[in-house]
Amino acid sequence: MKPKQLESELQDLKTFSTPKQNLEQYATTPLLATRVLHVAAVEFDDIEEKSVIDLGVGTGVLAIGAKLMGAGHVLGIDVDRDALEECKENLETYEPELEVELCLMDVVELIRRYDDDEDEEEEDVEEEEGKSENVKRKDYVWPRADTVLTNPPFGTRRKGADVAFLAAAMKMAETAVYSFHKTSTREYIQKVAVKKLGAKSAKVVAEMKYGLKNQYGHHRKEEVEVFVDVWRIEPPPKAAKRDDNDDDAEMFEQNLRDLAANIEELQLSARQRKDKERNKNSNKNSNNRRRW
Amino acid sequence: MSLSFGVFLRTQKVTKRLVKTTNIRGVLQRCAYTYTSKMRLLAHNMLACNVKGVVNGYPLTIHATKIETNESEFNGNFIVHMLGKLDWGAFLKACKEVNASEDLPEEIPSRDAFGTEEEQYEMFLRKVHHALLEVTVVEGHLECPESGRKFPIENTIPNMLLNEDEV
Repeated sequence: MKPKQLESELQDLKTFSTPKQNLEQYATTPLLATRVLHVAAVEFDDIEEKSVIDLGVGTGVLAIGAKLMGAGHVLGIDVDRDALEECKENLETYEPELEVELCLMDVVELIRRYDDDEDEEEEDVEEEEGKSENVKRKDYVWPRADTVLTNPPFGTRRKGADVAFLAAAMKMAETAVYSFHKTSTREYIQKVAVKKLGAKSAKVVAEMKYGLKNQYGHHRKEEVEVFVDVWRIEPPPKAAKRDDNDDDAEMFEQNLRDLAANIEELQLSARQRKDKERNKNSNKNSNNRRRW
Repeated sequence: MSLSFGVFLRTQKVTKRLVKTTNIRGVLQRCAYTYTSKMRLLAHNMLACNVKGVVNGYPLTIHATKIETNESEFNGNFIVHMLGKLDWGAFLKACKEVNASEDLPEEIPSRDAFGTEEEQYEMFLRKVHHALLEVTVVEGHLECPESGRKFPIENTIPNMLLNEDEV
């Protein structure tokens, strides 16, 4: 399918009727979806006859696009039931039906809790040998696919949500993760992907303008243009079987633990910064008062 | 058709839709294509119970109250590709639970086992294709083999969300 054709197909899809601010639901624009799908399909052969997961599927633009581009199987995951219903409505408009499977799951929560879980598991490590009943699981069991497409929240509302999405996507992907991030965070994403998450490679494969319509009250302008990078990230090699844990997997887990700590640090520093600003403001106010 | 119409009626949207669509034929056509995203065994093969403390939350037992078969385009290459990724044991178990076992072998046969019998091999691939992508669970629930935690399949979407005390 040619880019123009794909774009016009995606143009007709319905977008969020009532987007949820806490989940940072912005519909992927047809242009953006077309671009990433074409790069993935034509330059890297990551779509055709491959299994694909659309993480944070929303109204299904990427999932439907992937299916139209010849993906063998597409699974859409989202935490929002309403979005999945709307995605379903979009799927229904095709004839014959588009086979996209949907599933409700909260990956951000799983990634966040992972750290706490790990601590508890370590206590049992010594006695776990040989006793299958006492063996604690090393990680959650994640859905797996060749390629993971995700238009993650930018993490401006839920701090660290973008990185949590990335971490989850890398757990699920066997060949590649395609993700969008603000161009302003390029260095940070590079660092997170390679150093923290152990990615084999992380490259910006396209740069785009992303026109965000004013759908929430806090935007002043009608449309805000954001510059985004399309990333292609190769995840670290995975253990062949679900139960195997080789060095790579362990290293990956270690990195993930570091990451969780890092997210907390960031949240802390953000909070401190806010406090400082508040103090400054209150100082100013008191100065003013004196002058009068 | 009558099955999906029944499910369709139960949704709240039906009134809205009927009002919106004056053309009754259009309504009926839409009904026939309602719920395209039924759970297939391929997605089931990827899902597990991640409730805290559960070690062997895989594979989930399927309790289906409504099963449908939808035709799906056969792509041999893709099935061969997926054979390398599937958890075959979990797949066979799931097949039995939805009555779609169709005498699939206990282990994945190698391509060489079929030798020059291309047709036989394709027959096998088509069987896998059918069970993997054409049999769909419309209603029911998935059950964790260890804790018995039930994950409902609501409106054809498996709900794997966990409660706060479960993560």
